Amino acid sequence: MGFLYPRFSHQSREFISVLVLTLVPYMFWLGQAYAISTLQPRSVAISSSVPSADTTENFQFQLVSPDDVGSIELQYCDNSPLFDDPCEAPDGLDVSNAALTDQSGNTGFSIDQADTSANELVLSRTASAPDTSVINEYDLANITNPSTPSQTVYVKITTYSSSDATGSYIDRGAVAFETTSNLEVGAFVPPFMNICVGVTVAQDCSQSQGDELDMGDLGPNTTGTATSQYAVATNDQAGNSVYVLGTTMTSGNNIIQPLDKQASSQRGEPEFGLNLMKNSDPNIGGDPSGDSTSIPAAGYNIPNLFDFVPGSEISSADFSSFYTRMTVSYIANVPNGQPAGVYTTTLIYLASGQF
Amino acid sequence: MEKIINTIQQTWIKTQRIVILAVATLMVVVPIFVLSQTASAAQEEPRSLAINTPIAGATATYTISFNPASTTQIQSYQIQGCTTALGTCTAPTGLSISTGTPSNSGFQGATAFTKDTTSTTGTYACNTTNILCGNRTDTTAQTTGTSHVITDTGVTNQNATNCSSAANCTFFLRIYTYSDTGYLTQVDYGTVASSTTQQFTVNAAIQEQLAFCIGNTTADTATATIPTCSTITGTSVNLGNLTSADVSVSPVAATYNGNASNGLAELTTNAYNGASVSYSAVQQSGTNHQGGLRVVGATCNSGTINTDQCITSVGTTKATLVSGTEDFGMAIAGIDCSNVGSAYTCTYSSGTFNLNPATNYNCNGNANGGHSNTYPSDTGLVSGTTACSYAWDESGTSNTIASSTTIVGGEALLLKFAATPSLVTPTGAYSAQANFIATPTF
Repeated sequence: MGFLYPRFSHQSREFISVLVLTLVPYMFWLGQAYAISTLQPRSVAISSSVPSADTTENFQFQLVSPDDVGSIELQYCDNSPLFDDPCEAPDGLDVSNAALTDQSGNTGFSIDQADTSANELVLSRTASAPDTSVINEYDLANITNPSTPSQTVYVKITTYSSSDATGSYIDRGAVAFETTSNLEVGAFVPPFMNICVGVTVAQDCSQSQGDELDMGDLGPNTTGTATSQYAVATNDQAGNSVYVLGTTMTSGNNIIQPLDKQASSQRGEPEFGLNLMKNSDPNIGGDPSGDSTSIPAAGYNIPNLFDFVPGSEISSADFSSFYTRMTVSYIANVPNGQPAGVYTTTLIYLASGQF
Repeated sequence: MEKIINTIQQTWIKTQRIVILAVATLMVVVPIFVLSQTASAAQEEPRSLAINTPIAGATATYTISFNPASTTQIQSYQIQGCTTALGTCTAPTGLSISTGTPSNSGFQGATAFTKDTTSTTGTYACNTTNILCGNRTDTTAQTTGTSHVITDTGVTNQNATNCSSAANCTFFLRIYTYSDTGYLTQVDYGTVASSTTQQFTVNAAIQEQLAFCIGNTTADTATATIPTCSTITGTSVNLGNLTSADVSVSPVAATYNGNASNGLAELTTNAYNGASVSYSAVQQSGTNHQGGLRVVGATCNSGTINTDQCITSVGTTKATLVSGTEDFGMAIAGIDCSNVGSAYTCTYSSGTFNLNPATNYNCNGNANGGHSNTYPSDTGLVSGTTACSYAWDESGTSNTIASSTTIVGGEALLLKFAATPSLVTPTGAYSAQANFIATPTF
């Protein structure tokens, strides 16, 4: 072996040889003492993958080596999970304000602020022998995600016997997470209002029959009656109003005087009116059915009392409402001397919302 | 008289010549016979040694095979481990063939050889570790053209100190057969060679890999070609105009103001212990139902209320949607394997994929194996009841929608979203947001 140390004397060579041979067993021992094992299984679960979001992180891993553990280093890199590669800190990532909110398995750790930076976090404790049979769990809060979307972030986890993540490491392993943009689901609910009018209509407006009523022969001793229906629904949060448009019954220049205020039906009196209730005198009509959100308006909401003010609101809802079916009861009375003729009127029911 | 004497002398001389000639002949012939007798212990051919591991110091099995050179009976053998093929035998350090368990095959005669570790009276002593001895009582003639095999199980290979600590080191086994049971009358012999070698270790590091992306896609079958993570685009799924007459299921065509897209979550990871994909509903501004399909900032009521600007969510237990009954949910319609390539067999319809949908987000049935892996028919406007079941947790809690117990090579979750308003669900622009996270366990 003289070629290895040619400048030494024979005695020196002997001494060095003995020293080297003496040290050989210790080299094996040291190599065994610092044998590096891979943490497994290991993972990091983040609460948010949104770039720049505040997030929490849950690390889980199992220690392998029985050596005393005094610190755990978490190094965040965006270029490589390999420990031999230099670490490039992810843009925008900040773990310097992280808080250790929970820990299980091998515990007793706290954040070593002095050795923690924006992309490196050190958990420290007094070194002690670990339990290698348990899964360790460490929850960290107040972490700011990297600012780059679709960025894979590698976290290199390394354990040390020292309390400040210096010296020879024991176990190590890398985990990864990725920033992603949120997925948004959009939809639009368009304004909706539907009204159907007829002699009879289905509750949900799926059917409507008839558009003409016959109140028969009018005379001072009879009350002409008829009914029609309408149904209305809307998703207008402010609700809806239904108005009746038209005139009283006319025949040429002759008219049947409309009721201009709520009143009962009086035979022999000139009256034309309507309401939205079930009446007993005369026995006609029906109460509203369906969604109770829509109700008859004042003037048309008391049984046996009728009214007719052209253009007035006859029912309304203060909220969006499912279909409400209204039955409109018409009465017509004429006095003696009411000119003969065919009296008619055309009424229009108008629903409106505010949206 | 003189004639008689001469005759006698000549006769004596002739006799002497005959004797001399005879002696000379004997001197020539005897060595020939002697040598001939020595040469009858001929070389066994062919012969070989097979070892099952060449690692120095390892426990190995040696298979020694040879064809006898003569038909002479074999009643004992000695196999001697040496550092050289010829000359004085030096035992390779660490080699122990006598501690193995020998067996034999191919020998003529029904009697098997018995291992002998005690005899010291034969050609070589049997009580050393580098010599394997076996004997039997069986005088059956041997067949020269067949292989005779001695298999020694549990041999300890020579250690690494031989050959000046060179990792690769040759050693020899000298094989002797004897016609007697005491290792004295040699029949055949032969030498075979082998070598212990260093263990060649190849080191490589495979770095942890994770590629997870969220986007949208017009794909609406599990066999469509979809973009890889590097080319994926889009961050929204638009269900268009909702009406109570239908359930709007993605993809909704532009005719109905949708964007004809499904959601897409694609995962690639070499995490050996698997991975999971989860989502949490982003909590939007407003009151109640903050993670549901809602008008941002709207004041909504808790519970199932149709008249506020929050569409009820299905919840964490999947259910079908019925048109007109306010509901919103998400389902995994299928697993698209088009980016897996040849990494492994991945076919959704066959149920051969690694990323298994969670039960409540599996459109058709239970987790992998419990359903037909049929891509659902729900698409666009669905009148009545959907074929697929959907779920949506609006609480913001993380929900696992799919998981794997092993690596995932580019499998994509095709995400369908479905919503239907009630008749009175107020007008407005509704939205829900989800944050998707992949968690690999390496």
